Amino acid sequence: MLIPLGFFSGGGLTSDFEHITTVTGAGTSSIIITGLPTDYRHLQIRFLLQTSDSIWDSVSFEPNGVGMGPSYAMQTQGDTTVPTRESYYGSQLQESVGRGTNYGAGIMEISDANSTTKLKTLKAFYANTNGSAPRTWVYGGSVNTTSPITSLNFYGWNGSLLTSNTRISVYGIKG
Amino acid sequence: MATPTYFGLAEVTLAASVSSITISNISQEYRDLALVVNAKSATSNYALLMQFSSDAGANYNRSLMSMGSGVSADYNTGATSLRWDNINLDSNAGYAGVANLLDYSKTDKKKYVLLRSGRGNGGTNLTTGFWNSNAAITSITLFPSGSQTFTAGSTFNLFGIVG
Repeated sequence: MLIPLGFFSGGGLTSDFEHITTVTGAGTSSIIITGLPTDYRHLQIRFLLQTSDSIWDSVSFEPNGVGMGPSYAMQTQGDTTVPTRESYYGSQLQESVGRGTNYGAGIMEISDANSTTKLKTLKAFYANTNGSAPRTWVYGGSVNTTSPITSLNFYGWNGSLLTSNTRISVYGIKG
Repeated sequence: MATPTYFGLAEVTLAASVSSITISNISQEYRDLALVVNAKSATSNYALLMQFSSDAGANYNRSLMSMGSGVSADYNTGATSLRWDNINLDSNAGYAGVANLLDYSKTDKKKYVLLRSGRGNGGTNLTTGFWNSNAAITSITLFPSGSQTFTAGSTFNLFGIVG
């Protein structure tokens, strides 16, 4: 028997962590998810990203169509080099996402996504581990908007397409 | 419409020491899996290893970012199991972590794993893993390195995530 993690209330099953939508790639230059409900405090985005680039491209991310503010990442280099903090630029989110089995996989969370007074804070943990130099990233950044997050835009940094193997799932967390 | 998302699939609490555990017949109806582990080994300084669908071939890659007294990195490719981290299982402090397996049931893509873990006496790890197979993950086997054992009281919980 499968047991949902939630609680029964008033005769109905409720949960504080809920699936909102899942979108898969269609060989287009971007994936834009719109109409996100604003009755969740936080958002979690679980993703597998793949681009059409023959070698690799980065994937960019813009909530509400707004560019990212100051963002920083720490990544391993596919070896034993000690990771150091890096400043990210523009809306670049995931590096080294290419063809074949070369996915970027990760989990991202936007805190207080429905706030109308706060700039939004984003953190992510993601991977590219299929090749000879597997890498791990941890990423933190801000979004230059105080509006509730109602849309998410993913696109190839250098104009590559997001393949049909791309998958983006959005979850809402109450609080 | 938003729907409940996390479902418990399996729960294991060890009553005695064992050399490995296998969670088998994993339902294929979810998008992702989350595996929560709180385990100890009988002897300190051994790693926790994981295999999918009984595959012991050289099909696992791993990248590690480790934060203890400083930050360090490690990696390996073509391993016969996925190593959770290089902060080893410990007989005193124990070890806890969660592994997220993305698109585990899909047969058109390789499998990615995101691991977060820590040890009671110090150290936090972010590990990413890769299983070089398009096969669906139908079972997960966990075992300590060095032919060690998990001690009684170790717990393993598997959740299915709708998506």
